[in-house]
Amino acid sequence: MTELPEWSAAFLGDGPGRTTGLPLPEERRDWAWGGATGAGVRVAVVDSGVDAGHPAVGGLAGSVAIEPDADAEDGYRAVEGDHEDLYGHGTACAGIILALAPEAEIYSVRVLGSNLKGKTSAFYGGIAWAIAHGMHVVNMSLSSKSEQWYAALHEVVDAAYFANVMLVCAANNMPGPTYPSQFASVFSVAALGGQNPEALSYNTSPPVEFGARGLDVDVAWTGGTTIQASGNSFATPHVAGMAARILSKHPGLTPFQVKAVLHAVADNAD
Amino acid sequence: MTNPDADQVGLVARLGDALGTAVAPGNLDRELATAVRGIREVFGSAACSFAQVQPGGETLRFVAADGAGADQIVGVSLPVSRGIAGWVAMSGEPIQVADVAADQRFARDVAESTDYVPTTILAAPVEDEHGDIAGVVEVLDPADAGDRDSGHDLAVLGLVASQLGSIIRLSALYDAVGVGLIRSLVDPEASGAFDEALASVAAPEEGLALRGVAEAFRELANAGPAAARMAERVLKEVATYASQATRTTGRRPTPPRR
Repeated sequence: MTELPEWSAAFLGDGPGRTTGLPLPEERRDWAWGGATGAGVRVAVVDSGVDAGHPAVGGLAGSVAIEPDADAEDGYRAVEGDHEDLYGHGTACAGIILALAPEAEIYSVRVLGSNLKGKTSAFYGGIAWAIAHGMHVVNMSLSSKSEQWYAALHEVVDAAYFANVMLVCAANNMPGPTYPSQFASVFSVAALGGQNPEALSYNTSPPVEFGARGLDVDVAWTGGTTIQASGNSFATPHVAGMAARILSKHPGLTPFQVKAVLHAVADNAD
Repeated sequence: MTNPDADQVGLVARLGDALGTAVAPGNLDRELATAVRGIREVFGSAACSFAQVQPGGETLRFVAADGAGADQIVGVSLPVSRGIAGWVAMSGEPIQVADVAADQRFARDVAESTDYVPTTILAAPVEDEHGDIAGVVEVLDPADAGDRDSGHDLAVLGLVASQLGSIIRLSALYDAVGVGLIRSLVDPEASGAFDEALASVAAPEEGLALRGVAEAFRELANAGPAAARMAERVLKEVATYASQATRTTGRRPTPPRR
C-alpha cells in the first residue's frame, strides 16, 4: 500500500512537535509584520488568471499570459494584457493574499490554459517572467511530477532564489515527489484545518516546511461569486500573504531570511 | 516490407493469440468501471467518475462513472480549459469544492452534460508512467461531507488516485509489450532474415510460453498492490528491451550457423 504523504503524518495526530525559532525582538509577530499591509510588495499569482473586477480583488497591477509556443526559443510566449480567470482558482488565491496584505500589488501570471501539452513549459515561463519583472513573492498553487522537467524547473527555481524572489509553492498531498514544491529553495506549504487565516505551523520533518489554513476556506471564484474550498492550493496564498507583509515591513530580506522569520513566528516555535 | 505470404500471416495470427491475454482490448475499461464503483462506495458518494485526457491534450473524456448521472456523463468530452476537473488536470493538485452551484458557469456546463448538479466535488489528478496527467477522478457529494475533515477526504482520494494511476500504467505497459513484439516482426529493416525471425518468435511452442507469461502477469496484477508493482516493474523492463531490439535490428539476432 502506498505510504501516506509526509505532510499528513507531520500535521495530523499529535502535530509536528515544537521547534526553536530565532529570538526576534519584541513580540515576534509584531516585529515581523505588525502594522504591515503589503504595500510596495509585488506578488505574482501564477495560476489560471485573476478576475480583476471581483470585489475581493479590486484591480490588478498587471497581467500576462504565458502560452506554450513550439516555435519560440524557450517553448513559450508571454502575452501581456488583461485576461479572464479560466477556472476561478487564481482569483481565489489573489483574494486570500489581499485579505492578509491588502496593499500588495497583485500581478496575474496565467500559465494554465487550453492544452495540457506544454503546460510545464508555461510553469517554467511563469517563474522566468516573475524573475525578469522584479516580483518579490510568487504564489504557485500548482505542481508537476514530470521527470522530464526536473532539471529545468530546478534551474529556474534556483535563479529565483538568487534574485531574491520568494517562490511559495503548494505541496501535493499525493505520494511521490512533485516540483517545484520539492526543491529546498522554495517555501512549500500544506493545508491545516481551523478558521484562523494567520495560523502557521513549521513542519519539523520536511520537505514540506509550512502548514497554513487550507480546509473549508471561503474563497473568491468566477463571476463575482464565493465558494468554500479545500486543498494545499488554498494554504499556499496564506503564506504568500504573510511573506508579503514581512517584506513590506522589512524590505530587502532574502528568501532565507524570510523563511527564518516565518519559522520564528510559527505557532509551534518556542 | 514485402507483402507477407499466407504462412507469415498465420504465424503473426498465432503470436497475436499468444499475446491476447496481455493486450486484449477492454480490460482497462472493466478495471476503471470497477475502480469508480469501489471509490463511490468508500466515500458513500452520490457518484464517482474518471475522465481521461485525450491524445491531443485539449479535452477530458469521461470514460467510467458510477452513481447519479453516470449513464449521461460517460462519453462526454469537456475542454481542459474549464471546470474543476480542468483545473485539477492543469495544476496537478487535488481539490475539494463545496457550493459548486454558486459557480454559474460550472453549473451550466454540468447541466448540459448530465441532469445531476452536485453540491460538493472532490477531484484529484491521476498520473501516467511519465508523471504527466492521465486523467482526473471526481467524487460527487460524499456522504457526511460537512461532518468529516475535508483534509482526510483529500488524503484518501490522493491515495486512491495513485492506485488508479497504477492500473492505467499497467495497461499501458501491456500495450507496449504487445506493440513492441509485433513491431519487431514487421519492421521493414528486417527483410533478410525476416522469415527466420518470425518463425523463431512465433513458433507454436514459444507461443504457448508467451501465453503463460502473459497469464502469470495477469494473476500477479490481480494479487494485490505489491504484486502489481512487481509485475509493472518487470513489464517495464520487457517493454524497454522490446523497443530497443526494434530500434537496433528490428528482429532477433540470427544464431551463427556451422
